[in-house]
Amino acid sequence: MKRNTIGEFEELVLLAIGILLDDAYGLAIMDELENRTNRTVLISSVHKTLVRLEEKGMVQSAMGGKTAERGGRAKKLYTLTADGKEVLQHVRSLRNTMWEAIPEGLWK
Amino acid sequence: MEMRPANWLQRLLRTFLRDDLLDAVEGDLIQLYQRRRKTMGRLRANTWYALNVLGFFRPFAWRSLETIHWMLWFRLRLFTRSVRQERFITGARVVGMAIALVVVLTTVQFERQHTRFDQFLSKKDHLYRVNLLATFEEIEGTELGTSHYRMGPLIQDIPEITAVTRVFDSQSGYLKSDKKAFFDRALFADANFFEQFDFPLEHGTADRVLTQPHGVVISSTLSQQLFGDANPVGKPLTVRYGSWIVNPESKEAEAFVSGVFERVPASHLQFDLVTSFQTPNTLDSVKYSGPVVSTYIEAAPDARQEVIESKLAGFYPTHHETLSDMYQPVLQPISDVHLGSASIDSDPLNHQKFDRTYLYIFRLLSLVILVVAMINFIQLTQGIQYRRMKQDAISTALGGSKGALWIQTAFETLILVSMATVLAVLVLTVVQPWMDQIWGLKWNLVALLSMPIVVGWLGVIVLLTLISNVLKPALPTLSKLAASQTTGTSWMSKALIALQLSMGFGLLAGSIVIYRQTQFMLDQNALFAQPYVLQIPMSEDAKANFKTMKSALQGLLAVESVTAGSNAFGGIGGLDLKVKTGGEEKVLILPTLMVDPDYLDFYDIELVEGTHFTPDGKQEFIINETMARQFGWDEPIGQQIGFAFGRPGKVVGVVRDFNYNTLHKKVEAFCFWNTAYYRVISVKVTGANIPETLHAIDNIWQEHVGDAPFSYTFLDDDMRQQYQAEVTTNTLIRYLAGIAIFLAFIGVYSLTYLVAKRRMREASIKKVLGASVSHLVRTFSAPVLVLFGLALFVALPISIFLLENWINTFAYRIQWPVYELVIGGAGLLVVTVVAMIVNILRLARVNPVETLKE
Repeated sequence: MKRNTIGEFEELVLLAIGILLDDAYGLAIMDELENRTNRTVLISSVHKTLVRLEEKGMVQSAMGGKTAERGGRAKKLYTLTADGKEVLQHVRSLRNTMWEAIPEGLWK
Repeated sequence: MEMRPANWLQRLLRTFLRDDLLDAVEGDLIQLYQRRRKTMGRLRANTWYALNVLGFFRPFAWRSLETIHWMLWFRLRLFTRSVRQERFITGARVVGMAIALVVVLTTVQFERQHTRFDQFLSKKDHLYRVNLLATFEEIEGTELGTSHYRMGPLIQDIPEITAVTRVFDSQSGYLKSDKKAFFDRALFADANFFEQFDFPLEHGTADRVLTQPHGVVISSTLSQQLFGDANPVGKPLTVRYGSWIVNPESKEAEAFVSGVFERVPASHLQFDLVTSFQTPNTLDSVKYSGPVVSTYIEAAPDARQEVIESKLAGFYPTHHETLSDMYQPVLQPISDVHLGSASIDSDPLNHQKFDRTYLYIFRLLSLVILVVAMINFIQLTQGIQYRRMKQDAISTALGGSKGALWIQTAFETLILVSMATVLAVLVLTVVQPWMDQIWGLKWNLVALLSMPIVVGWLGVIVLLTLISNVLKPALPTLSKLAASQTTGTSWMSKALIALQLSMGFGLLAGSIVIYRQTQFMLDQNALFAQPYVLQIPMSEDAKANFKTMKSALQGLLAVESVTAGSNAFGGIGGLDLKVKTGGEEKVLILPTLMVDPDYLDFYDIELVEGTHFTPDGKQEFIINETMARQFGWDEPIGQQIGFAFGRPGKVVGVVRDFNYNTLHKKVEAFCFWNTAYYRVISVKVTGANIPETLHAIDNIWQEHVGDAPFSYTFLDDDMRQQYQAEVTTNTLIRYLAGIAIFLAFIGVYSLTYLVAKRRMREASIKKVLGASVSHLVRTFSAPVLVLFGLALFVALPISIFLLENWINTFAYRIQWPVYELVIGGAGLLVVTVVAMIVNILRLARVNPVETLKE
């Protein structure tokens, strides 16, 4: 089922995948989120979100190469799908329109 | 060097994580681990890793049920295949464990049934029975379960004693209201009896029921018989007590019902009726006779047994001038009375008493049987693993984890042991009525499967899995496999075989010795275990009419002879006798049997000196050799001896020593007295047509005694009762020995069977190269024989040590059964060798063409 609503953490993960572009796998995403938010992020939560996003069709995955650093395990590399990008843009435009709707007087 | 997280943590992750996530997740976690290892120690890094692994234990990351289901199915296939290939071996594994479980559960139930005695008493931790320990030279060390009536009120002054209760057993009799009801056992007791022993009451309160004179507390069964469902409290009735000592005039006494008790729980006290000691004119003779009542005390909560005993030690010198320094009261905790009284004489109030030592023996034997069965199981598991070696080696080479092999073993063990459990429960259900009949074993299987047993059994499963896996033959590499090389047997499994054989030998030796000793004790009583001797308890009417009844009975064609005595053998109590020895008169409590003049003839008791009783003689005594020796009487005939509260008498004869009470103890001083206080008639009948004879005796009984029931037992049955512990042990031990030998046999047989199968190819090659059948038999049997020798070497000293200790607890014991032990060892050797030869011959006879062509 496709939905175009996502939670905040899902949104952050999608954005991180976009930032990392070619090298977006679990641990890299976690690092990216920790660095940018200054919050502790659980690796299992990242994977859980990735699995959900893939089910929703917003990301797709491919197996990368094996490295010794990973004990001979391959990376699972994620990229945004068209749906994923669309959702991100939808969220952003929704925010923008809502931002613009706030009366100027609020910020004074 | 590359740093990796702990292996088992990695494996843990792999057990539950779904396969498509494994690379991604494990890779990430290892990367994280290595990053952490740079900044922290191995332990902390591993801890973090473990926490991360736990973080993934969430539904999104689990393997799908389908995968797990498929794995189970796969394991089941592996299992059923090996079952099909090795039907015999599988059967041996299941049957062995089932037998062990049956034995263990039976022992547990047996033990439970015997340790439950008196446990329901709320004061059990503070109640003691006061026993008398003889301290005078002649019978030193004898312990009596009874004490003097007069002692109770006197020891009450000791501050550590908060209450004293005395109980007297007045045996059978009847109650009469509109109807008549007979009872087997009435007790007389102090007013606080039901407060000290909280037997549940149906009507009446514990502190009131025994306070009024003439009040009797009856069982709900008697109440039902006499009054139906109505509340009987306050209703009048008459009682006739069975004991001459209670009721010398043999009158019915007026009484009323003061309470009703429910069924008596497991206790050394069993009774149908309790009367208060307050009732006047009943117990005069008890009050002045020897130690015939049981005295119980309640100790203050903080009082220590030794302290009370030290205060009691001074009791006899102070209060009992005639018995000064001859007895010392000692305390026996109430929960020890049932199992700890094997060596106590004069113990009339101890229902079904048992010897704790036998419980320990059963426990040890069943433990050994369990271990033997487990070793069997493990060895056969190994055998199966040898057969599967090729398969396992290939699957490991292809990347299958060793953990999978562990799981497979655990899985198979679980299934086989479950099958064994079901089988054992079935067997127990089927044999239960039979066990009830032979050993009085009753149980409820559900109640039996309590927590400790279930946990213990799971422990056995875990242990079996662990040991099987640790001892698993090392898997050969593929190149060795291709060359048909296998690895040898580990020394551990050889040690197991030796252990099993030595336990088998120990069981066998133990069974032989215990069987011999218990049989010996039963045989020793052959003198009194003559067949066809009826024991008939006498009522007061029977006593009054004994002479006429005796001649009427002797008139019957089927009756050989008739006599009577005050007690049955085995239950002979002490009597206060006044004896003149070394010029001074002493009052001693001596085991005495008051008998009809022809009693000695009846039982073929051999007279070594003097004469028999004269038919109308009075105050004549016949003593045994021990008594003559102990009193230092060189000329026993004519020595002065008599009832302490009666006229003096004389010794007229001496009999050869015989065991009159229990074989746990040495023969002690003992005498016969020809006075008419009979309680039991003995009738010797011919073996032919017993029912008709019984009917004729019953007719004579009714004629002379009236409506009291004619009840009888056979003497040999009584003896069996008396030696109940020995009889039970004797029969149980036979089964246990059989089981042990059977287990040893199937163990050795299945093992050689598997070894033979495994070494088929080796034997064939040897044959092709010219080895003869006899050479092959020698080569393959030598290692087993060496093991057998080793087993004997270990088992012999241990079993001799244990058995000797046990045997030495008996006053009368068998000669050390060298002969039987040799036969036993030889028997086991034969069994082993036969089991081995059968299989090795099969191996040696194999046609090399058949085996080698594959």
